Amino acid sequence: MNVITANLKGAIIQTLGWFLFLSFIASSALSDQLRIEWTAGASEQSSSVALRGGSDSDWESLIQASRFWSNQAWQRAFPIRLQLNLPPEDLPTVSGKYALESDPNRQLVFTPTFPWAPGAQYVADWFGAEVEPQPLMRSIWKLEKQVALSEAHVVQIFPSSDILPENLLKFYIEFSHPMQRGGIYQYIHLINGAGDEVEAPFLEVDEELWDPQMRRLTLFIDPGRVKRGVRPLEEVGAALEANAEFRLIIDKAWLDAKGAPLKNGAEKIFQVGAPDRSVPDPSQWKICSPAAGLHLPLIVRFEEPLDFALASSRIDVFSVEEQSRITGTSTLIKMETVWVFVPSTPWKEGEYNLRISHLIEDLAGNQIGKPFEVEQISLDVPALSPAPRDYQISIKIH
Amino acid sequence: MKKMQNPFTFLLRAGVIMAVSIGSATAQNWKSGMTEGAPAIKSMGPLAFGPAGILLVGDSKSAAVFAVATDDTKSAGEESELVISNINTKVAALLGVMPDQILIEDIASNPLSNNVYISVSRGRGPEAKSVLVRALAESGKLEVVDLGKVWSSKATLPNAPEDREIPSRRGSYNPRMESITDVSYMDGRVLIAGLSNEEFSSTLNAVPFPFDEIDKGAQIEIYHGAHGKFETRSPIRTLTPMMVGGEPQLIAAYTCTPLVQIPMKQLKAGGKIMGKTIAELGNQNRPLDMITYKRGDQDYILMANSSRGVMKINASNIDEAEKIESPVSGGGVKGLAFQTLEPLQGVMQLDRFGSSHAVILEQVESGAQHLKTIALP
Repeated sequence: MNVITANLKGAIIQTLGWFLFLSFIASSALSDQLRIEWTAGASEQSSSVALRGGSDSDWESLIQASRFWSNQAWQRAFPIRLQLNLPPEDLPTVSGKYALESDPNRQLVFTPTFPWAPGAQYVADWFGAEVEPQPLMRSIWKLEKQVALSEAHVVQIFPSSDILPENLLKFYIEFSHPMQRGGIYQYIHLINGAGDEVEAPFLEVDEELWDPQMRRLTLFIDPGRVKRGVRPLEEVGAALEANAEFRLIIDKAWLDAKGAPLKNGAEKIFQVGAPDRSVPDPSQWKICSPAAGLHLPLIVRFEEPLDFALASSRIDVFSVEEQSRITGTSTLIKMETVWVFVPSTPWKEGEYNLRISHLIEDLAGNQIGKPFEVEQISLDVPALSPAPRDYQISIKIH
Repeated sequence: MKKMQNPFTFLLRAGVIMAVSIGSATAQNWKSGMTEGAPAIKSMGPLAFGPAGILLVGDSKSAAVFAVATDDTKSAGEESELVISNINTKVAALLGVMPDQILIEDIASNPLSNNVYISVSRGRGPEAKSVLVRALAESGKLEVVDLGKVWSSKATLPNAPEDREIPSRRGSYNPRMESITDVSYMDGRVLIAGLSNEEFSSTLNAVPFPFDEIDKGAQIEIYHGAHGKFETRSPIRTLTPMMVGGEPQLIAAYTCTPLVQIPMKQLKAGGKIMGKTIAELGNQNRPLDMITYKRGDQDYILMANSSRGVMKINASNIDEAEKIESPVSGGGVKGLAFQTLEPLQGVMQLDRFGSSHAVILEQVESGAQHLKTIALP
């Protein structure tokens, strides 16, 4: 008897189920079914998620309810969330704007403040115009991330010389492609002559000293670790020690701007030589000037290697007659000891000035007339040192 | 013969003088020189609050500081505690991007409302977008600050990279950048510390506020004793103003941690001044951020740093502090007495929060970052 009752109950439930299912089909046939649709795009305008379809009465109740809704109320009715490893209720909804549109099709559109990010998974919940406790509809969506190919590599490490002074001030690392910022110092290692990694040899600045294209990184040796002339560093020792072979290693794991690791790691092997405590002296520079009418380079040989970035940008040729800077292309060659300048147009006969900024530095940070280590100055003298001046060399082209 | 003063003229003059003095006393026009619209900020780094809810934003890519009127001037209610755990994940959720693509650059609490402003980089490459996020002090709710239509002004640094292209193998452009390492405000002046990606030098600029197109501010060379020598070329990492003996002073922490005191009145254009080294806080310890506060009649400096817990430095006798001119051996410490607050580890940023609290951004070992208020120690 009990068995029969159970079977009967089952049959009733089944019939009821079918009835409900059929009535659902019937109602959706009458109206356009509510749905959530995602649009991806590279710009803010083209990323969106929209609630579309639904019956006239659905929209009527939505329009009625939303008449006094703020953005916050919309966030409750149609929240868009990023799926992360925290409970959704602990996370803020994605920042963006809601709009109820009727033309050409009625839709509730959410436009995020920033475009959808590849690799992120988003959840849109529709709680209905009455903001029910449970979502009436949910859509989970992910903008697939294209796997970035490892293309970036280290193009060059400056200074290019393989003998560097013990009181070297900085390296420049040049990459082939834009790189990622944030926590970069973990990828850079300095290995000493004994094969041990030098602990914290670089000045780690949170901003990280990149160029605007993020292809060149400036790496200062911690000023507290630059070998001093006056006394030995008692605390942690200098980063570089003379008469040893050091290696600067760049890890392959460093990510480029697209998120791919470097194609290869890089290594610069160099000998550490005696410290350089003398200032650059342009009076010792050898200048080879071309003849007028020719489109040949002006060549300047320094007496010592100079800082790559500063020597590239801080030496100029001026025409005395025209009182203007000569445009052209300059290059540093021979381990940053020779500056080669090709003007845009052939040389005209006349007088020129080679202007060298006082900011020019050698590899140890010594500037023209100003060594890196400033001698002790009297506190009582108001003007502590003369104002720095640019250096000028006169050149005649004939 | 002395001309008689027309009594009417006298009254009129007195009236004008009164009006001027009342005006300056009650409502200084801090929005002077500002225009309405979207400020052309390229990158948001260090933040600091000036007067009347005006947020100062250091923009390294533009080599400029922007002053933005937040109009967030409603006084805070009762000072409450604010805790936003996993703030980096929550900011990522708000900006719709994975947390590994979020870098929190700086935090600043608005002294009027206590709301905490956060400069965020959405993305880590050259195309990254800077976003200003606000954490509401009362609810802890995070929101994006819409900078589409605000009153703002801009001060370009005098040592900004020239608008000049340098040929390179990847096309002509200027690779020079002047990174702004800290921004601070005191007494009608915005103090900006910077570091170039080419020459290693210390640049400090003092720009009068409200910003004036003509006066781009003073670039100042500061000498201080460290490593047994006098130096100018170590960059300032973080700075904070402080009243010492009734005189406004600038307290600057250098990259290799000597703490230097500089009288504000000495900050003049093109000046070279001697800062007084008042503390050497140990080698291989980078200062990260710094605030000052008063407790009773005692003055303190609170400094976040890279290698130990937050340091609480008693600065009450800073005026009489011994000048440090000789090398400090053994990687040691010297000068003003300090105490290390061991429980406060991994603090990256800090700012004042109301009269009795500080707000900190800390990073724990898992990499999670938490924003929270602490009672001033």
